[in-house]
Amino acid sequence: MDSPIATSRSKTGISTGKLAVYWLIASEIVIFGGLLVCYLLLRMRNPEWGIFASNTNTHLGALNTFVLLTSSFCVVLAHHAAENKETDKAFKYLWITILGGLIFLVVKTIEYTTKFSHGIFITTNPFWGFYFIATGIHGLHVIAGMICMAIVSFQAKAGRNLGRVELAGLYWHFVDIVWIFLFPLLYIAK
Amino acid sequence: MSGHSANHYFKVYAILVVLFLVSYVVPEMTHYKPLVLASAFGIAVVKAWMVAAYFMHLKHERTFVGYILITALAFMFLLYVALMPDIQRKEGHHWRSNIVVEVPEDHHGGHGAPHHDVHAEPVHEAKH
Repeated sequence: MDSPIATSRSKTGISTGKLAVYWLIASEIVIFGGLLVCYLLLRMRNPEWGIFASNTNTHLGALNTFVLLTSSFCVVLAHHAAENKETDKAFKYLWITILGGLIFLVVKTIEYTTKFSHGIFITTNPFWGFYFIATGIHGLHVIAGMICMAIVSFQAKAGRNLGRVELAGLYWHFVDIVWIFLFPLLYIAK
Repeated sequence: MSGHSANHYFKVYAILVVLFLVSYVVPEMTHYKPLVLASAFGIAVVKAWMVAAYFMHLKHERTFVGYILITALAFMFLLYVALMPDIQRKEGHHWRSNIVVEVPEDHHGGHGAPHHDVHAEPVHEAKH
């Protein structure tokens, strides 16, 4: 027997799914915000951390910024296609976005292995602690977003739950925004 | 429905890429720190706003969504303001911070375990 499901909230005029995603994003703002605020405070307190920051690879960080911007563009195109009931197109753009996430993770892995080979680890000093925690948590969010989009893509291809394409996209844009701030904080400010 | 065309999103994406290139190229061209930091963080704020406004459609979203996000951002700001007096200052009434991160001679950051003590030392001498 099907149980009734509330698909929209009359008080806010927002669909239940979208409201849930925005609450999720709000909690993520507090998680990443707390981390970045602590980093910012300690970084301003210890200008000498700039020497450690000069060992982050700006070119790879920039490449990842470009990759995430492009994937954000692709997921908004997937949303646009889903709105127009172009299910195959939505499926294609979602998988291009997932590919972007994969490229991002490969670049991140290259960065991490280079750091490890130079004897730099999460426990080396507070700067590298922040670096690995912030980029690591962000990387986990990228993986989570890729899994969500993979599930949503097959539903979209079958013409089911097309509204979820937008929800997955909202989450992905947020992950992109976090990286937009991590890039100058960890790679440019030296 | 967002009501925008794919062309509209491409224009936004093109602007984002140009902004990204500027933030990437400026630090390569100059080492003048205020300019590097202003361009990097100024552009980051603009890029984040553009992604939120045009890709997430926050410009056309219900006001309630804005309330949710602003509340979260307010907590972030509150944390900054609450921690700032303790972390930013090196000393205060009867205390002196001794956060020390030793910088290795090779400027590499990977060798020689740096000392990091986050405890504040009590200061016994009278302050004037």
